[in-house]
Amino acid sequence: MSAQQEQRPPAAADDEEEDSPMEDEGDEGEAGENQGQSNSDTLCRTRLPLSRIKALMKSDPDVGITSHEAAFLVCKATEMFIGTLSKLSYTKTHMAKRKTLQKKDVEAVFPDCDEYSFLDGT
Amino acid sequence: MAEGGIPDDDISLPRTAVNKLIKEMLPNMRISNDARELVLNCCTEFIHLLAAESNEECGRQAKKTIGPEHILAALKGLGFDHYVPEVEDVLEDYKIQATQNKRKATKLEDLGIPEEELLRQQEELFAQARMQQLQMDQEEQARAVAAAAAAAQASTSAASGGMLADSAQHAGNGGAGMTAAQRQLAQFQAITAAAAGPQPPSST
Repeated sequence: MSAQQEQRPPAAADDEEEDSPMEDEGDEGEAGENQGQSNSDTLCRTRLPLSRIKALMKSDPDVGITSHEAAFLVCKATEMFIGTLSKLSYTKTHMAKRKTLQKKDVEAVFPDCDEYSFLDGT
Repeated sequence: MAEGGIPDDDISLPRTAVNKLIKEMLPNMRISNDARELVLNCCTEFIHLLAAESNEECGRQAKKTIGPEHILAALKGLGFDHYVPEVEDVLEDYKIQATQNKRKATKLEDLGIPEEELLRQQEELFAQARMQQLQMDQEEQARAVAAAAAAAQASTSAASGGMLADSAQHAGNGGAGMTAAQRQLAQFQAITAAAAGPQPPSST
């Protein structure tokens, strides 16, 4: 597995059996280009591919041109979003005394916070 | 990796990247595949939401391009204020990096000429220098040949001129570092001078 986007050390436990070996269409190649800038910048390295983020933003016909800086911030905000969503979902799993985080744990987070109300029906 | 075959509405972030982020947050947890799928879809929704809100903010400020300030305003507006400090820090880092990159680039750009053009000009200069060197070599050769021919002619017609030989010898030995062509030239000059009238041998 490609790890060129990694900046932090790998996780302690290796939970390979839950990882699906079949990832979607060659996303490794794209993840490798997520340096954002043409020069190799340690400060501007992102964990998610900027091009994909930009593509997602552009898929809304109303959305105009996005600057590189702005896409970079969206990328960082999304990384944070994944982090907080995961943590909040985990609290639900923990309350239910389960060892596997399930879809219903993620769904249970939505009604708790107003800012997640947009996710209802996802 | 080509996204050409995928309709715009179906694009999402790469699963591997998202899974890695989840794993970093919850290193010791098992996570079901449908939970991962849901998180992935939530990310897509989040990005769409953020894009739409930023776009509106951009419109309110009568700007054409969505900039970082619009993203920050959108985060606040959507209830993600707690993201703002960290996102602002990251923006600062980005600006520092951008300044550093610009400084590196400006050295060459100061000339106002793109790199390819500079390379082309360099090649041209090399070619010109080569041509000039070639021409100089050819001219020197021609002079040497002329001098040798003249010297040969002069020596046959003035074979009795001891002075000539002396002059030529003096001229010939004038400089230790002279090339053969220069020596021949000097000899020719000496012969010409001698032919013009008796002169004291000139040392060169």
